[in-house]
Amino acid sequence: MWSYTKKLQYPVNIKNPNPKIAKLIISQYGGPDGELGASLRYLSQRFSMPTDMAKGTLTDIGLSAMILLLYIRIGKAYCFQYALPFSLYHFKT
Amino acid sequence: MTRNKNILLKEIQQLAFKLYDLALFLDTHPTEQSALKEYNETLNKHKSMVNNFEKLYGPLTMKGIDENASHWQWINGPWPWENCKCEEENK
Repeated sequence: MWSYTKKLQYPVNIKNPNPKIAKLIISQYGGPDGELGASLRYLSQRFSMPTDMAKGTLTDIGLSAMILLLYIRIGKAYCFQYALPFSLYHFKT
Repeated sequence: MTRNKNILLKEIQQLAFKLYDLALFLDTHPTEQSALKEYNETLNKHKSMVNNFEKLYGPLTMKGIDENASHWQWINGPWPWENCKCEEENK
C-alpha cells in the first residue's frame, strides 16, 4: 500500500509571510476544486480504469495530490502564524 | 551538521523528484527505452544516497530503521514540516 518518506519533496523557506497568500493557499485545500477532493477522486477512479496505463497514472497523480496537501498545511501554518502580529501592528498604529 | 544534512537531503529531494517525473512519463510511455535507462540509473544513485543519509541521520522510511538501535527511531524529530524556515521581516 503506502509508504511514508520522512522528508519534504522540496525545501520550504518562506521569506515574506503574507496573510493574503495564506488565505489563497487554504482555499486550495477543500471545496469542489480543492486538492483533497481531486486526490480522492483520482485514487478511487483508478479502480474502474480499463488499461494499466490509466490505473498507474491515476495512482501516481492521486498520491502527488497528497504531497500538495502537506505544502498547503505548511504554508498555512507559517503564513497565518505571522499574520496575527501583522494585523495587530496595523491596528495599533 | 544541520547544514550538511540539509545539503544531502536536498540532493535526495532532487533525485526523488526526477524519479517521480520519469515515473509519470513512463506510466504513459512504458516502452520508451531511454527513459527506462535514465530511471534505473537515477534509482541506483537515489538508493545509495538514501543509504548514506540514513546511516548518518536516521531513517527516511520504515525500511531504513537501524536494526541495532535499542529504541524506536522512527518517531524521532524533527519531522519534515518542522524543518521549514520562515523569516519574519522586522517592521
